[in-house]
Amino acid sequence: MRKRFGGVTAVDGVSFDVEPGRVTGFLGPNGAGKTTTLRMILGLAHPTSGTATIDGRPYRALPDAARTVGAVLERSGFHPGRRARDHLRAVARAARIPESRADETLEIVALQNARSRRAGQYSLGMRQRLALATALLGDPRILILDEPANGLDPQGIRWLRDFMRWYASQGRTVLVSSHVLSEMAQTADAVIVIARGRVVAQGPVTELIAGRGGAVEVRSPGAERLAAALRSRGFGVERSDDHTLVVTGADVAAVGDLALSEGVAVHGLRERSASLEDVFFELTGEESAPS
Amino acid sequence: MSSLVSAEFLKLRTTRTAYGFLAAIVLLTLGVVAANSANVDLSTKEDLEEALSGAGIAAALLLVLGIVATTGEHRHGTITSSLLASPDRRRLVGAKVIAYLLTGALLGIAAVLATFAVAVPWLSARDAPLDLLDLGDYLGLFVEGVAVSALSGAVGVGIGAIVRNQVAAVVGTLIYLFVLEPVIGVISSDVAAYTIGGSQSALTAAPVEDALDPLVGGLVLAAWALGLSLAGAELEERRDVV
Repeated sequence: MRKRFGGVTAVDGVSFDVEPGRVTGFLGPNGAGKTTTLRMILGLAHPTSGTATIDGRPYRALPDAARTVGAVLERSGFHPGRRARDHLRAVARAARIPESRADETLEIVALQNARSRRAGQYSLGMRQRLALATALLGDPRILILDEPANGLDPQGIRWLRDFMRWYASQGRTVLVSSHVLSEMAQTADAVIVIARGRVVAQGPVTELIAGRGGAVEVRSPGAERLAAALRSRGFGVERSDDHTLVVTGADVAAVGDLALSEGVAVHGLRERSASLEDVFFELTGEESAPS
Repeated sequence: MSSLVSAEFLKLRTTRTAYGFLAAIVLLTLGVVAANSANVDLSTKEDLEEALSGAGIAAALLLVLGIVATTGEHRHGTITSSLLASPDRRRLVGAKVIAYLLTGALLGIAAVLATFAVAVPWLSARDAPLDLLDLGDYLGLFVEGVAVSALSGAVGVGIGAIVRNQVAAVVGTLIYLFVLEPVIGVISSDVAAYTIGGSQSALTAAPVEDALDPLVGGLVLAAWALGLSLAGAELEERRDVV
């Protein structure tokens, strides 16, 4: 799919498949085109070119869309004066879903005690859970979640993670966008990484990480001298603090041998395997924020 | 379609907006009725019909209610869940038009009955020549009042579907009705009779120059409602919801 807004190309030829039975993470920095892509999948925005299909049909041609797909989107909101339960009842009624599902989904997201409160009195985390309850009304086979962890407390995030894993374990499809990589590393079976409107990688998390070289971390009081020696041998060197270097392109043996021949003491030497975060920054060309 | 209309009613009933509008309609209508009934000079049948036609306020407020309800979905972001539940946007606009036609009819009945309940005893106490009106005239006032309220609700939905921004839609409509239309009236009262406000006037027995016959006025207002709703549905269909 491709999407242009005026002169700006927000989504530039994105193409991917999402399989049932697993949690698929949709990763990308802010502004990469994640939300626009999800909105096009759901028929809320029209692609400039291309199509998205669910079970072979566009969302808007699904015979029973809300019973097939449930979605939580950023900016999906609530009338502040309407009670949570009434919001769910109205959506259920429009989608011809039994209104008893309103109470059932409130229970799933643990809002049953707040069901008669007006949505305007809800905290951000509660609103996020109410949005999830709305998505679950039709007991859908496919869940599409746009940054669902926003506003949740650590407990809520862990609950959401377990929930998504449980949902996928039933053979259902979960597509979840996020910019919180550590969260995705623990949740997603597969990821699609997008940057500047293009898919830069997709596949199982383990394969993505395995395909990337790790690094060697070395601690030395003579870090400066060691760094110079490593660089002269053509290795990549980054200084992570006064005494620690991160070396790419070399293994531990090569770094240790070089330190010996340079007469530099080594206080620590270890292999560091790539994390989803490393892969992400490498793929998207984004620099990690200075810590 | 009936489930969509029913969902619209549920949405309407579950916020305080509609109740606020109902209270405003009844109170303002009674205020206008009191002012009209206190008017010294009520001698002709037209004077009496004007005094007993209580739907002017209701029509104006229903227009605003239709706009507020339709644009509110975009303002509060509920449009997303509405469209996910019913992806056919033309049907969604259609359901709103039907829901606000019916809501307008109900609130119109409330306004007209409140008017009769206050004005008839008051006017008869002041010895106004009420015997100039027969049952058919009262029935006519009732039907016109209900029709103008119902159609105004639908016009509001159409405007709200075209202009999604709530403040822009409400303020723009008020400026159009109370500034632009009077200017049109000054330029040509023939043309002004066919405007939204002009066709509403035909149904509220307002003392307007070159007013249309109530039946023609009703048809013109219905044409406005239909045209604006179709345009709104078509625009909603094409635009992105972000």
